[in-house]
Amino acid sequence: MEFFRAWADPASVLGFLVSLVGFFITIVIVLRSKSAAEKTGAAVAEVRQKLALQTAVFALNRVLADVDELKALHRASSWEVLPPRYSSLRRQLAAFKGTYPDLTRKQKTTIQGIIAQFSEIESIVEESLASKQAPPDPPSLNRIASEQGDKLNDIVIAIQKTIGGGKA
Amino acid sequence: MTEEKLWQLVQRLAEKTAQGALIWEATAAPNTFQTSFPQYSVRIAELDKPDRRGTEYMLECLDGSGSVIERVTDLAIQKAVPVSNMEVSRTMQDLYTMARRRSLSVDTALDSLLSELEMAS
Repeated sequence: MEFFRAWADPASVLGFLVSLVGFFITIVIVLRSKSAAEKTGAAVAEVRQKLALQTAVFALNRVLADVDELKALHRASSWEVLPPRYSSLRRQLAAFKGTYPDLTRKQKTTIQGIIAQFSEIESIVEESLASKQAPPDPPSLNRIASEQGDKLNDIVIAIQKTIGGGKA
Repeated sequence: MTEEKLWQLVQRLAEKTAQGALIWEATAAPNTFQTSFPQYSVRIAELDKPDRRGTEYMLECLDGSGSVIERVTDLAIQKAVPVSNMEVSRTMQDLYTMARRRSLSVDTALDSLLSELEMAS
């Protein structure tokens, strides 16, 4: 009994110290695993971000190809086939503007302006079809369409720079 | 009343355009200019009215997909809003003139021409 009484306090102190060291080691392990999980999460977010940007570039390049096709149809005076293509283009741009989250206010404004320009061109072509005449100034349609293509291309370049820079 | 809001919109557009805060651009339609915001666009057009003296001005609002959601002329505003006919017509004419000048960069061209003339003298 004497033996136990003599060593009871040192054993308690030692036990406490061991617990403290164990607790410290546990904290370090938890912090390390949390840090690793955070790093993994950040890497996944970055990959997602880059995928979203590449999808955006793909979508805009498809719209740019459509604009080029519209210009060729203007030159060929294929007025009958054009109205649904203008509508499709406007829908694609409106969907892009509404769903792609990282567009700046200026880029959204530019895309809205492009939508409005093609809406005006569509009205002109629809009116000419109704009156069974060619639009009054076909070259101006291509001039406006080209300007819109250039603006879209600027947005594509800005997004591509973002992908290259690795920033959101 | 919608016409009163449209009249407010015309006045605000004229103010902001005079301050150089809005970017106007020509459209494929003659005598028609547009400015855009992230969700909407606005067009101003000068309409030739052979049966009337002078001209008429029309403002259109377009939604996010490019559909015209509202259209009003200076005459319609004059009929609906208790302000002088002259004030409505003058404000819409001023807005149209400023939009046309800004979209065609008339001031830049005039500054350049004046500068060239200064150097030539």
